[in-house]
Amino acid sequence: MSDDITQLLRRWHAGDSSALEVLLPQVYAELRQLAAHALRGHRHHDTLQPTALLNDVFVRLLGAQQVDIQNRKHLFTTASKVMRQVLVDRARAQQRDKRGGGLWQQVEWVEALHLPIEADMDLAALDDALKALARHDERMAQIVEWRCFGGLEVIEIAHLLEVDERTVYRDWAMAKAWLRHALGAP
Amino acid sequence: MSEDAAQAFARLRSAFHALCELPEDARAQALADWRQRDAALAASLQELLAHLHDEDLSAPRVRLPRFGPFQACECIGSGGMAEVFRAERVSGDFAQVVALKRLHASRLDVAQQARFAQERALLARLDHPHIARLIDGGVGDDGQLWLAMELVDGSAWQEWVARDPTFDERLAVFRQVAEAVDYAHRHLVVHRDIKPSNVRLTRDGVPKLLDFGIAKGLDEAAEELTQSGQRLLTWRYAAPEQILGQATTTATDIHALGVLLFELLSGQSPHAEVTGTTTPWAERILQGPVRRLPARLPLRNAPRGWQRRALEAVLARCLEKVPEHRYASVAALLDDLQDLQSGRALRSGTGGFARQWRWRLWRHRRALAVASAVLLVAALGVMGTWRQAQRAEQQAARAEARLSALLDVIGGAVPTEFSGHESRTVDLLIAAATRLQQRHADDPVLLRQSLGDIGHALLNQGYSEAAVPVLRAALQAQNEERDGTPEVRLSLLKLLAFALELPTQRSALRTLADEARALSADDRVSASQRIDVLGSVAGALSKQGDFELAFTVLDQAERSLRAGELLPSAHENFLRQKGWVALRAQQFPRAKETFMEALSVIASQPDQFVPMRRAEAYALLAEAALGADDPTRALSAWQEAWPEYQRAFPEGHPDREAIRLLGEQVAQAAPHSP
Repeated sequence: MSDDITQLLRRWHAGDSSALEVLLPQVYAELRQLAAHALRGHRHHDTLQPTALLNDVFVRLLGAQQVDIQNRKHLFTTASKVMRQVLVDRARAQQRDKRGGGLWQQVEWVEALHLPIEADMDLAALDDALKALARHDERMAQIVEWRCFGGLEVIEIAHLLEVDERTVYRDWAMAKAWLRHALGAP
Repeated sequence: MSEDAAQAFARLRSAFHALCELPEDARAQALADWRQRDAALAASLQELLAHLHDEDLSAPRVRLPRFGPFQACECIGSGGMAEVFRAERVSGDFAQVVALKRLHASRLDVAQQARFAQERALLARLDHPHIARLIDGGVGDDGQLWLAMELVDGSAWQEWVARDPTFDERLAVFRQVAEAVDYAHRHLVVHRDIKPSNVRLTRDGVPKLLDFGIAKGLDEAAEELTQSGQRLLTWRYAAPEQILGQATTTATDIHALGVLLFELLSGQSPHAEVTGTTTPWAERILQGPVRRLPARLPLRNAPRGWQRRALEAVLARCLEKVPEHRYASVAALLDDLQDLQSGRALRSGTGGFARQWRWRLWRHRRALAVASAVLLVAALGVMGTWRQAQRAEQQAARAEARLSALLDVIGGAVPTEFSGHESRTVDLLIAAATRLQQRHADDPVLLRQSLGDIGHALLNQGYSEAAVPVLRAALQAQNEERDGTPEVRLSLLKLLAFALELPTQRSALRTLADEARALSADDRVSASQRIDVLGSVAGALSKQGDFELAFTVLDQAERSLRAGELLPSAHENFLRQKGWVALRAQQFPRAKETFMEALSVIASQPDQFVPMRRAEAYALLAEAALGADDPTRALSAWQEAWPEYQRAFPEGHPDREAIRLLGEQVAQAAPHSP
């Protein structure tokens, strides 16, 4: 990991949130490599959780410094937002220029990161629908963002929100039903 | 979005939450009810339910794995480090259902896996009616570690609490849990994660503590994560020292028991806030005040009057922020609870009640005193000879209950250190020394004895630098003893002299030499001890190159040589040290004479010396004679020494090798010898 990334991390850690925005895409590149590596090395990858990978990356990058729960929530939220931005921007760019399709593989990303997004999902449409959902229920949209773009597990979300795991499952199921309906699924 | 629309969505959400997990027919029934009350909401609800995929409501299904003789049937829990399955034995003649815990081995490095294995061995020894038993364990094909534990099939702690047991029933169950913790502490296992979700009750209402020690293994694995703040567990049941990342000990479990009891009686956390703001748990536990029990307890036959006040005192004692201020052991807490429940004054005197009751730390204090002494000896790595075992026995008799405090210290300091890592023994000993000083500052005799032992052990294991502060603390304690004797002080000074090896400690050694000389002049000191201590101090001085003072010290000791009866071993040791001083000062003829004198002491009472002692003396003589240009003497001395070295050490051993090389030098110096 190069020095300027470490520098950015320090800046972020010192409270400069713009540093993370610059940093995240690079961190995800690292993360993707790690995930690919982990997948090659493990046949039984059902136990490999993507957030753990995300954690691993940050633990490695931040070293033994203290990151409290508020910071963690901020970290995951920002990470998910940036990831959402990255994925949706690329999906839109691809829609504009169909010939550029070879440059970026949505499926590859989503699979490498174990994100719970269907392979043929229209990310641009999902993005719009998610914005609409947020107008109804911000927390529900946040849960979807964390899960789909941050790769967080339900149990981790429950900890961040300090609510019961079941509540998160029900909200997640409702959000998905709502989104399916909004996206015109039969 | 309008207020109304937001409210409508909120109602839709709560209706969906209520319905989504119902079976098909109940769902239809509920929908029909909604249609009667709110047709618009029912329509939205129906649309949502039509798009609901049931698998979104639960964790994704994984193929259920097989572990050794067990087949997993269903996943009954999962966390960052492990998953728990209900599993059945599928091989063998008998049926068995277990709770099977699979650890994500990919998160554990080799050292952690090894520690896990040791942990398992330790746990296998825990056999208590209120601890879920460890049944089996192993490593799966994919390298994952698994443990089969007794499955407690009754109810969760919270379910039991919801059945509204009376105060006496609650306290009785809590005491059983505490007994389990006490039992484990006496087996040197600290739980570190006692909380409601780790206690279950059997169908007969018997509580069982789960994850005993496993939690610890996991904590260790998660340690790095914790340090980076990536810990996903809530701090709600943590003690201050856990949040601060300091050593967790038996006192940590006592804090957790306090939280558990407080919640059991009041339904609220002792760290909960009254105001309703949301300060993080960690901050509240570290800085916030501990709440008092609410005035009205939601209990049937809640305690009143002195019993309630006593209960508050007990809880406050458990929940002290400083570990040393809590109960010294779970046994002491149990004593108090027993007294409280049977209407007697508390034995510990906690809360100012009945100070006439003696603090009773342990029920079997003598047995434990022996155990702790033996443990200490074991920690020093000198178990195995009868003499030393006897010494442990004597120590135990002498130290009585004091040594039970040592067990607590040893057990609490770093319980897994008894698993045989030599490199950890030093940590254990240092931790024990630190805790002893914290906890028993008011007991100089105990401090002096224990710190002296620990310092001696450190020295024996080659940790001179670590031994210095420990021995200094022992000397400090000795100073505070009411009936301190010069003999005891001298024996500590002798140890410290050996430990002061660094060039920077030269002046400290000189100061020590002055004190040892002054003390040796005391009539109470026997001639044997005097020459032994002064010889040792002189030897240490010569190692530092301080020959002038070394010879002065030796001269003072010399006068005692004629003073009276000397123990042959003390006499020989003095001569050996004296010879060493001369050898280091390169005064070879003087060294030669001194070693010859030492050999004559050995020859006069050969049964007082082991063959190796004699061989060493001859080897030293050979070396001195070689320097003194007396190759004939050097050769004959070497020939006396060599057979014993051959016998005692295998070929290639450094000690044997050194003497072999000495032999070559001797042979070169005396070319005409056979």
